[in-house]
Amino acid sequence: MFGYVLPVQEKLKNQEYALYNAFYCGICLDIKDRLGEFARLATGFDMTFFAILLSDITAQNVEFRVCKCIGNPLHKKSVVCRNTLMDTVADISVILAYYKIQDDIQDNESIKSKFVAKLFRKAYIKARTSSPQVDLLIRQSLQNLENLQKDNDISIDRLSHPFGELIKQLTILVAGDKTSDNLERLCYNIGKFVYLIDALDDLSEDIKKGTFNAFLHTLSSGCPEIFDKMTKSQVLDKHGTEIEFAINSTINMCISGFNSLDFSQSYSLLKNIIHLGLRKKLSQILSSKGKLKKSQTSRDMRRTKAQFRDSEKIQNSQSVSTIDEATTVD
Amino acid sequence: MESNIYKLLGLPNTAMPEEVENAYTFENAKLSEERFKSGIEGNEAARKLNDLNIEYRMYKDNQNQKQQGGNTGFEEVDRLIKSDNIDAAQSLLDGMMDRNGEWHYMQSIIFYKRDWISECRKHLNMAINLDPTNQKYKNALDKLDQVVGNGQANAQNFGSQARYSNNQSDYRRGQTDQLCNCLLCYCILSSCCR
Repeated sequence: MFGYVLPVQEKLKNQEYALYNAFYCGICLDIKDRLGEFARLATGFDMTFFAILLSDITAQNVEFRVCKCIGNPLHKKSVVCRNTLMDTVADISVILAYYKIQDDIQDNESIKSKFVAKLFRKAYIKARTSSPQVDLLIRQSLQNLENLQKDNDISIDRLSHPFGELIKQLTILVAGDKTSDNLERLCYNIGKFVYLIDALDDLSEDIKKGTFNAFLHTLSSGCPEIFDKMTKSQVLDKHGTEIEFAINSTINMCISGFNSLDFSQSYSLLKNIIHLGLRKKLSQILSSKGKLKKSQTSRDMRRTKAQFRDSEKIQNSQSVSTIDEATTVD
Repeated sequence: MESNIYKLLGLPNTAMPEEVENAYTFENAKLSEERFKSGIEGNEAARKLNDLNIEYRMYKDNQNQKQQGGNTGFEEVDRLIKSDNIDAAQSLLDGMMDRNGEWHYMQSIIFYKRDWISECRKHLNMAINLDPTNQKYKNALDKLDQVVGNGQANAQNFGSQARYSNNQSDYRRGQTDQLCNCLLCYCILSSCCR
């Protein structure tokens, strides 16, 4: 879907990489089994993070199975088995993707989006039937956002609030009594981060097409026409400090919420995403001229055989040094 | 910011406003005469007079705020923020008509509590514009820029520090790989059974 909350692949240990993929494929196959083949396109990195985080927080009994996948039919993969949490995450992925397509249709009236929306509709209705509360929360938050976008004198915090609040409410819904202030803080800021980074990523496109952009709207007090003849880098030259401050502070608030939580299953994988992944994504988007390509993000997440071997070597040398340290201490 | 006027005038912190006024008038007159002396003595008197006037202005500002009931209102806002009653603090602040530096400072704290950091920064800047000599506002803005909004800040320093003692991180490291290990065991078992 958005693909902004993901780990730094090079820093993952092999088993963390495998675990991440097991969750990603788990969501994809969950969608396939329950909501239909086509809706698998809604599987995304952001929701994979959400599934790993909430599986850990709710101490979910995660089970694995081995299966083949249409994406790579020659190799069997370990994937996370279906459970109630994975089902809900799959529903959230499909419902969010459906509304994102609707938003695209509103923005540019493209035939492609309309066609995709038609194909998604069946899966969306199934997901809505199985998780009506999720649908309600998403619809309400998008409505709030639409109302706020009409306000010319609005701050970036106020504008990104509905999406942060949405992810927070979805967290409360999934985590139930395992929710906590720090978890909600983390997820609220993850929501804000996705909204802000998406706006930054879309900056050049929105200038060209004249479509709504949160940063252009707030920086110009509702008169984004002043940016019409500017490029993304010119906007960043002029307002980069404010934009970077808004996103960096949101990332640091995520980190703060994360550091105050206790984990029992996937701490280092989640730490990679929160401590490193969010900042890396920001720097990638700041340094790219146009919008980041989805295929690039997917390529970044793929690990070659050579990388597998390198990672193994690093881990072995680390474990040797740990043994050395332990011996020295003794 | 608290004024150092008592120290400059050699008075105890408990001195009454009248005592401060009298001592200030006396000291001001004395230094005003002395600054015309030649050499180091005159320069020293001029410097002291300048310091005295800055501190006196700050003292008077604080006194004015107290007279307008501003400070007591802010104390209540502060109390509500500390007890995590953010909505009540906001509505109390909304009801205040005199929006001085302290008002914007309090508003910035409320925004900070809500994780609205850009708004927090905006109000700190407003507080500084209204009261440029206030060191408390400047320190808060510096911290916000150097730590909270800094993309290079050390991620380990955010949140609860206590969790990052060595033992705790070892304990965490031990637990973190639990699910990875599960997956590993599962892979080994399933390949053995095949």
